[in-house]
Amino acid sequence: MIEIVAEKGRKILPTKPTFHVHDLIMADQKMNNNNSISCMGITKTYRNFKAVDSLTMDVNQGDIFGFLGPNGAGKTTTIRMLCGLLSPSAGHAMVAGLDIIKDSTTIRKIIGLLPESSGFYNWMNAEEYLLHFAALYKIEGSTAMRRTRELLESVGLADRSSAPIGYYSRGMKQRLGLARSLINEPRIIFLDEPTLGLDPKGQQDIQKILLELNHEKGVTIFLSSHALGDVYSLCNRMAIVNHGELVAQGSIEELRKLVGGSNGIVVSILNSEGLEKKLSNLNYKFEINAGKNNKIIDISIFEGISESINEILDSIKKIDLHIYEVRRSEMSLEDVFFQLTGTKEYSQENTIGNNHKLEVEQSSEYN
Amino acid sequence: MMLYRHEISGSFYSWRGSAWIIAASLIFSLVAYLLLTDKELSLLDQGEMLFTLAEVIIALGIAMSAVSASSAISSEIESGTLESLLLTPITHSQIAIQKMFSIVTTWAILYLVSIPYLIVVASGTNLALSAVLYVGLYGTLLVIAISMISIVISWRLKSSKNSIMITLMIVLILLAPSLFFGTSLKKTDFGLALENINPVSQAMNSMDNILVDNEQTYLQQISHILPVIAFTFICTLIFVVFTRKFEVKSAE
Amino acid sequence: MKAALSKRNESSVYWNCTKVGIVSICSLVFLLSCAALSLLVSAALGEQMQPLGSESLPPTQIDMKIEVLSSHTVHAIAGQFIKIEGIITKLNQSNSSNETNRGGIAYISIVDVKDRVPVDLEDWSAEKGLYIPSIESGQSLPLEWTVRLVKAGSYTVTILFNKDSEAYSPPVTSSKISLDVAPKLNLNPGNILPVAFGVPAALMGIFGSMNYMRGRKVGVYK
Repeated sequence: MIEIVAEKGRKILPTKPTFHVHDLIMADQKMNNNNSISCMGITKTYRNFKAVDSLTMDVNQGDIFGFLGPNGAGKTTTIRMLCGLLSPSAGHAMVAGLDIIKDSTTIRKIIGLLPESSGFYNWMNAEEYLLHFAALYKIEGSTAMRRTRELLESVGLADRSSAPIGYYSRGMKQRLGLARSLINEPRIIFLDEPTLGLDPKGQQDIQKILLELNHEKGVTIFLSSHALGDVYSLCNRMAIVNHGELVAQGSIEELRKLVGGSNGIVVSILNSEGLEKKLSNLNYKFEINAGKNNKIIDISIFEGISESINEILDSIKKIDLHIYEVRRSEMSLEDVFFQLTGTKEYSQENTIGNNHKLEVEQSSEYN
Repeated sequence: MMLYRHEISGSFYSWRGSAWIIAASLIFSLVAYLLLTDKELSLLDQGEMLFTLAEVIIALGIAMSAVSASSAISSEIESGTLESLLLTPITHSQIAIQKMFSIVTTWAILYLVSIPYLIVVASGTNLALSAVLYVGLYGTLLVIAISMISIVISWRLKSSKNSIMITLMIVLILLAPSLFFGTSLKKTDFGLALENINPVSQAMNSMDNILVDNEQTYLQQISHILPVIAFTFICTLIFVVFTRKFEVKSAE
Repeated sequence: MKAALSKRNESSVYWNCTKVGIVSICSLVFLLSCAALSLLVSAALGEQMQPLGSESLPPTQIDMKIEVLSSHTVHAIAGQFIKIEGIITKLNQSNSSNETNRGGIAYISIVDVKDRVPVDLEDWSAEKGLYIPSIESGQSLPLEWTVRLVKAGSYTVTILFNKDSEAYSPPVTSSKISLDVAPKLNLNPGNILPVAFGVPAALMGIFGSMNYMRGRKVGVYK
């Protein structure tokens, strides 16, 4: 069955899916008792404005959990509620099995938070700053000193540890903030834009630290970031929120499935006359993208690729199309994000090679 | 008391606290020198001189504590450091209490600095000990009370500019009868009523009785001490009630 | 004729002399009468001008005297205390009675000669007046005032005594004491200078050292 939404000048796309929250949550079937973080309908209302609206989500122990959403979606508010900095207006949540309202003091002992923008005491140096927080966490002197030195080493501030923080760059302060969030060896760490302001090396170092924490110490990481590349490379599960509501939750694969995209292949074929008619005989759901010179057409197939690629290629050959190139492809996280949040309009202008119109006549009946 | 030690260190390493103490000592030097050497003033009764100096010490202490305390919380909010603090196991009340203690410690240093001046101005009289003790008593009570109220205002308003403005207005209202009211106005029914409820006026009137009229015993001053203690107690209650919970506003 | 003329001249001369005599005597009598009349009139007028109920002024009786025992010229410095001493004596009287033994108030008066104003004794002397209940004839009583020299300048000091018994009699005064008060110049009264300079200097030194050591530790100063 061919599903082509095509007319001249328009990219072929599946129709924009609509989702029901309950169904989406059910799509993520791993509701087990080892939830590190569990939100049950938490809401935060400021006067007439709902920053977070009945958010229900779960983060498993040991997850590196991505928390995505456009600006103003309620991400920071959610993190603050989970860390005990804000009280929810309704609903409740558990962090490491502890209620965020009743057990907030205990929760603070076992979590760490790196906020998006954090202030520092400019008169202190990095070592004093970490030792100060170690003392606030009631960490013993020698342990605190050892941990401080290790953290400064791991975030790359060991050689600048005696300089006043007021002299630090933004990136250095971000590293110090990460070190501070780890001083109490938290079981769960919340990170809001951890790589903001960091150079590529710094971003890499942060990623390395987070992976080490997760793999070696089993720390659950709750990561909110606009750097989708970081989220994609680090997170095994994620949630997407918009306008304070949960839009989707699950692994990247599950989210791709929800939007109708998944791992697929891209077959580049040579453009020829009667291409559209030939494509109408192809028994797969696909997208067409014209190359720069309109000689090469990319056909992206995401569904049915559980069948072997040979079968797909045989089908293409059968309809007398000349294959130029075959490669694997998957729907990017960016595309998934935009699909789910509806924050990007799909039009010809947004396609690859958008100035080159397809010269293939396309039927309007598939719009 | 880690936060308390941190506050004291920050206050003096960043010159904030040091500036207050040095400025206060210069003012004390100026006032004491003027009192003792000026042609007219030096011929004042020594009790009057001591009373003037005591007034200056207490007023400076109140002003210093009001300004410092009113930006204690709001400056941390504005610089973004409070959030990290709230994430530690320390409770909100402990944060407020330790900040208040750090401000009272700065007053204690200011008071210690003022003692040599009181002793020198009181030399030759039997008023030195009374001056030192009663300045310490009234100054400490009033500084604690004003600090608590200022911290509550800072806690609620979350803005240093607004907090300092409101706190200074409160201090001005408390100091007004002593600074601005003439003797005749103080003797009217309204003036008397105002003096009775104003803890600063009670403290100043008591100092006047002690240093000028030589009524040095506690029993003689009990009617003045009790209102000041009551005022401090009320401020403590307000402090305890309003500093229990704190919420950081969302950045979005 | 000459004899007649001479007789006539002699009689005219005699008549003229008689006239003059008579006129002179009459004038003298007139003048004396006028004087007597004016005396009588003034006496009568003096009686009419006296207030109702009042008695006529008794003749002034100098029955007391005040002597100054202190030096009549005093040089001092502002801020110092001086003693003004005097002695009041009631002179002997033959008809002394309880009424006449009544005392009064002794006080001092200080006048600023330069500014030409009397001085308010509020800050100068705690004892403004000394009350003497009674003083007998021949008795002498000491008077003493401790005066603090509040302001530099030139003054005169007088001791006065206001008698209780005589309502209209002027106070008894002593002779004047000339008082010169030099300004007080003391750059370090009560040893304030070491404290006034020393305490701020010590504080600046302490805090400066603390911050310098801190700066060395954090690498701000090398």
